[in-house]
Amino acid sequence: MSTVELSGVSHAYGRTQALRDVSLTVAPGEVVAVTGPSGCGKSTLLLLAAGVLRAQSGRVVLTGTDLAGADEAARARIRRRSVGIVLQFGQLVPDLPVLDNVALPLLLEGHAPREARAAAAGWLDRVGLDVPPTTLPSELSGGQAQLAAAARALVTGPLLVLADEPTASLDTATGRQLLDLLVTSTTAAGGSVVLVSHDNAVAARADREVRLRAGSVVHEVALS
Amino acid sequence: MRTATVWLLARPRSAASRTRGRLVAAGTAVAGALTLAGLAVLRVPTVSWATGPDARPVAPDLRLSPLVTEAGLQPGVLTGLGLLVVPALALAWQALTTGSARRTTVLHALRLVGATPADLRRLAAADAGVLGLVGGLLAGPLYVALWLVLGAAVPPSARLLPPLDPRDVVSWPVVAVLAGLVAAAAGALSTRARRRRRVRLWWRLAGLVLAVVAIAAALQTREVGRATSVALLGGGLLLFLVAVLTAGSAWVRWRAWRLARSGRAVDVLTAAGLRGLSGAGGRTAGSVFVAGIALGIATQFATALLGDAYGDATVYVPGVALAATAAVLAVLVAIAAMTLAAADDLATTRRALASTAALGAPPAVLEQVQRRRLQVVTVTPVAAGVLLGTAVYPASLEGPGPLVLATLGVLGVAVLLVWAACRGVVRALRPRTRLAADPSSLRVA
Ligand SMILES: Nc1ncnc2c1ncn2[C@@H]1O[C@H](COP(=O)(O)OP(=O)(O)OP(=O)(O)O)[C@@H](O)[C@H]1O
Ligand SMILES: [Mg+2]
Repeated sequence: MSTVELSGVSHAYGRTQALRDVSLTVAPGEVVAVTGPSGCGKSTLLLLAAGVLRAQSGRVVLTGTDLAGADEAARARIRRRSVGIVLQFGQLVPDLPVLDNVALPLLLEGHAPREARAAAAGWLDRVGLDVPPTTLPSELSGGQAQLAAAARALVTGPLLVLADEPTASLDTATGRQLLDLLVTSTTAAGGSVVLVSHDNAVAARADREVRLRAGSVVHEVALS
Repeated sequence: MRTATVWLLARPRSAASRTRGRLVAAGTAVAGALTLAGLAVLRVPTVSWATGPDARPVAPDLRLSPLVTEAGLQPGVLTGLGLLVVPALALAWQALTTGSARRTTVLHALRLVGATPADLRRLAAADAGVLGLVGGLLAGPLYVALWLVLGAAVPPSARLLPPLDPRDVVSWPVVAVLAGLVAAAAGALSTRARRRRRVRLWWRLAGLVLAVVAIAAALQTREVGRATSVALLGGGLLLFLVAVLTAGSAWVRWRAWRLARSGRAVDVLTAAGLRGLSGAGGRTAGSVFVAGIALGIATQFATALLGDAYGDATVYVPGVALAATAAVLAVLVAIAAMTLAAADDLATTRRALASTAALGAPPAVLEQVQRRRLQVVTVTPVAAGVLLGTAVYPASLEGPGPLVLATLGVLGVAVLLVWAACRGVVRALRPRTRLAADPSSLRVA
């Protein structure tokens, strides 16, 4: 069973056709890079795969569940158990301390706060974000916020990590470390990673590269 | 999700959300205290001077004002109390829904990590329910304070509220729990993803008319009986509240559209914020409108009472006192509504404000835009409210002269007050504006 499978998916925002007839299958343990110019639909693809957006046509099967037949609550549950998301911006809950932000998926799942926070602290440490746990998202730099988001994506041990430009606001060394962490900790447990990036160094970390242009897949290559 | 998690996420954290919480609780407390007062007045047996088959010769309770003991006058007092509940509830609802732009961000972020719609509803219901319960509990002491003024401090023939009674102790917790439940339901409702299915303006106007008809029918209590009259009054007021609050946002959108077409920099910036804030702005317009109505009715009432040569001052003094209380409450609600709107405006447009400032707009222009936005949503509604309020109660005067004069006077004062209050509120929020315009607002969390 593939971790996520999009077949013939199209999506439009009003009159802007962001994706047209895109198919993509990600196998367990696989790392896929999605590349392409600005505005070609990469972020949209990621949000569709996560079940945040609903495909207007085509099919999305996420960890064995067809999202077309899943209501908002069911999609939310799959997301919180099996998917870790790192977005370009606007993903941390404002006013909620960083530690609680990272613990959030576990808290929503019903874990005890103490236990959830301990796990969160462990992941903050691993991504290398060294700030007081009570720091608010607004007090973080852009790169620090991305590290926190990465820690939150990994805290549940997800089957699928979806990362949108995860290293865009990080320095080269930190970016590489984070990428290593995202990939190794996920694939070691049989999970898959989809990385969106303009950066060739990021794409080089993948098993396969899918290039989009103007909402369609124009190129697909296996990398070694 | 565990209860501990609900508290963790629902707890107010910022200064702004604590202010919001206080206002929700305060609005609910005022509404609750007035409801308790209404229930107490309902307990007073009335005497009808009408002659007919069911006219019973009962001696009026001389320890109370005729305003509450006479069958023909009691509904007026009940309506007055009901009309005061409306602005208080409008304020509570407005406070509950402030910071809607920020909450949308929070909801989006929570949804992203897998919060289900039910989780989001639970969070909002917990947050609002607690505030409503606190407000309902505060309603008890507030009612006692009200009773001290309207029921104890004045001579017997001027008393509007009967002596405290064990039944008050029963109604208090009932009102408190009800307030909590209603607030929780309102909170849950506020998280619903808006289907942008606009209610036709036509329907909203129909609702408004229906509400006014229900209230008018309630006042004809002798024809329809007391229970029906109370039901009509309650239903009418509720419908009125909803209609006014929802019609507001349509009106604000229309104003924004008009301003945007003018092409002047300040107007275009004003319009940009108004469009984003049409919900919040509409609620402010609604609250201020209701406050205007209360002012209009109070004027009407006071003029009528003072104009009537009753002779005995204790007969009209409590009525005038009630009207004055209503007016003061209305003004307070209007100012609170404006402050909320301005604070909301700042929070919502923070990034836009910071980037406009970074582009080189001087602070004075930013404040001018804020002031314009507030004035657009408050000056016309308060004027319209005062006029409608004056028209609601049919005048029982010999000639309309004094009423027209009083209305014009109150209209002028209200518009000036609101206009000045807009300036004052923006002035008071200057430090916050500075903070919002600071380049650090440009950063994204
Ligand atoms: N919420 C939205 N509303 C309207 N249009 C949108 C929205 N989100 C994206 N779009 C449009 O859809 C298209 C694809 O956007 P998307 O964000 O997926 O691009 P992207 O490949 O991630 O770009 P970038 O590399 O700049 O992040 C763009 O033309 C964009 O303008
Ligand atoms: Mg993108």
